[in-house]
Amino acid sequence: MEPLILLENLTKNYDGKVLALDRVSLQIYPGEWVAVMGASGSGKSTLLNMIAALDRPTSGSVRVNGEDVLSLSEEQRARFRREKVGLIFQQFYLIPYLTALENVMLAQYFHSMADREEAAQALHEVGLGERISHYPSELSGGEQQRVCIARALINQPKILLADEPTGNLDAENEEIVMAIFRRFHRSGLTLLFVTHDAQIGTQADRIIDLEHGRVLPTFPAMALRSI
Amino acid sequence: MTRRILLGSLRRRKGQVAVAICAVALGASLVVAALNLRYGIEGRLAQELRSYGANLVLVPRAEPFLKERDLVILEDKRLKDRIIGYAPFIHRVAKVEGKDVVLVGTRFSQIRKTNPWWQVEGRWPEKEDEALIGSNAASKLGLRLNDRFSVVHKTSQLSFSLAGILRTGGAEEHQAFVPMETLQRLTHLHGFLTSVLVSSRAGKDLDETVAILQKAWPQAETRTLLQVARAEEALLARLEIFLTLVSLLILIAAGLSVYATMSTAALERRVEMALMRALGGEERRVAWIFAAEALGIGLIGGILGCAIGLLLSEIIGLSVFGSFIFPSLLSLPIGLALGVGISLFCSLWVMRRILALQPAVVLRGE
Repeated sequence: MEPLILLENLTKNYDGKVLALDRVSLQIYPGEWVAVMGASGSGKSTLLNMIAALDRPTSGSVRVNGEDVLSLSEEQRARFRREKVGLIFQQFYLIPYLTALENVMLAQYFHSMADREEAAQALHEVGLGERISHYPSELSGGEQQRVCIARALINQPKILLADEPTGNLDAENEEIVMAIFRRFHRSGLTLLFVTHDAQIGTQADRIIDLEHGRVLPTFPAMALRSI
Repeated sequence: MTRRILLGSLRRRKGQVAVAICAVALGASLVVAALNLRYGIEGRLAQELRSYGANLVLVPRAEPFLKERDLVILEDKRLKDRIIGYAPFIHRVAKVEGKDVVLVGTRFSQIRKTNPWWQVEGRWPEKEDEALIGSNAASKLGLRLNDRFSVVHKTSQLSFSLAGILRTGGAEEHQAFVPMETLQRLTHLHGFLTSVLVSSRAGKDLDETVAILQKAWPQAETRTLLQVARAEEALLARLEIFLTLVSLLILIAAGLSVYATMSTAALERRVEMALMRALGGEERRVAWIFAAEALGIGLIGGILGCAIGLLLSEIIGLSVFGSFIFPSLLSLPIGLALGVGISLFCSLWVMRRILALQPAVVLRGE
C-alpha cells in the first residue's frame, strides 16, 4: 500500500541556529492513527506544520497523497490545505466575532461554498447542535475544541492533523474529544496527533517519538500500553 | 460569507473599529480644514487687504476727461466680482478764501469704502454744500469746523460749510473735498471725471482685472498703484507658501496618525489572517476580506472627517474673520481620498508583510 504521508530526510533549521527537525523520514498509511510524541522543543509541532504546508523545511521532501508539497506555489499550498488536510490547534484559533456555526462555515467558504445546513450537521455530530449560535467566548474549552474538530472535518479531508488537541482541556472534555476522534478514526480517517501526553498517545495505532528533531525507533502504541 | 465576516467583525469589534474610524476622521478633518483655510483665508485676506486702499487708478487715455456715464462698466457682471469698490474724482484748482487749493469732487459714500483709513474730525459731508478739508489746507486757510467759506472757479462761485477735517498722512491733507455733482456744477463739467480709484482683489486676479478693464473701458488707462499692489502680492505669495507648508505638514501628521492606528489594527489581526490561510484561504482572498473592512472604515472615517473638517474651518473662519469661509471643493475629494487611501494603504502594507510570513510562523506567535 502506498503511504499517505511520506517524509524523506526532512530538516528544519531556524536561522541556522535551532535544528528543529534533523533528517526525519517516515511513512504514514491511509487509515492509520499516529501519535507524534516528545518533550517540548523536540520538533513535534514543526513536523506537523511541514506536513500541513504551513511552513517550509530547510531540506528534504514531503509527499502527501502522492503530491510533492514542497514544489507547490503558495496558491497551490492553500488549495492543498483546504482540500487534503483538517487542522486542529491547541489554542483553538476560532474567530471571536463569528458564531460556532460561522466558524465552521468559514472553512467551507475557503473550500467551495458555505452551506449552513451542512455546517450545523457537523456541529451536531460533535454534540454542539444546541450551541451553533454561540460565540467562542460563550463556549467552554471543550466545546471550542469540538467546534474546531467540526471545522477541520467539514470539507472531508484525507488527513486530520492535530497539535496538542487536548492540551488545554480538563479530563472530562479530553475524553469527550478523544471519543470523537476514535469515532472518526473508525470511519477510516487518517489521524496524526502531536502530543506530549502518554495517555493520549497510547490511543494511537503507532507512536513516533521525537528527540531533538530526530525520530527514535518506532514502536506500536500497543507496546506502550502494555508497559 | 464575506458580508458575515465583515458585519461580525464590525459588530463584535465595535471599540477597535470606532478607534480606527476616529483616527481616519481626525486625519481627514485636519486636512479638509487646512485646505479650506488655505484657500479660504487667502480670499478673505485679499479682501481684508483691500481695506488698505485702492490698488488701481483709471485716468483718461487721450481725452482730457473720463465720462461719468461710463462708470456703469464697473458694474458689469464680469467686473463686479473682482471689484470691491471704486470712487470717481474730478480735480480742479479753485480759489478758496482767495488762495489756490486743489478742489476734489467725489462721492463720499464710495470713498469711505475705498479709503477706509481716512480719519475725519467732525463728520463726513452729507449735503451738497458741505465740504471736507485736509488738515494742512484747513490750517493754512484758517478754517475751523462748521465755518462757511467761499470757493471761486473762474466766474463761478459757491459757498460751503466745513463738515470735517481730513487726516490721511498723504497729499489729501492739502486738498479740499466737495460733493462731485457740486464741483461739476461749479466748473461746468457736468458728467466728466478726471480719475477713478478702484479697489480690486489682489494677487493673480489683479492682472486679469486690469486686462478686462482695458478691454471694457478703452477710453480709460488703467494704472496699477504698484507699491500697494506689489506689497499685497508679496504678502499673499508668502502666505500661500506658509499655508501650503502647514497643509503639507498636517497631511503628513494626519497620514502618520492614520497609518499608526490602521497598522496596529491590522497587526492585531495577524492571527486571524494566518488562521484563514491555514484553513486554505488564498492570500488574495484573505487580503480582500481585510481590505474591504479597511475600505469601509476609510469611507466612513473619510466622510465624517470631511464634515468635521468643514465645520472646523467655518468655526475658525468665523472666529478670525467674523464670517464664513467659502469651502474649497477640492478639499472634500482630497479628504475622502485621504481617508480611504491611507486606511487602505496602511492595511495592505501591513497585510503584505503578514501574508509574506508562513502561517505557522504567525500561529506560533513569532
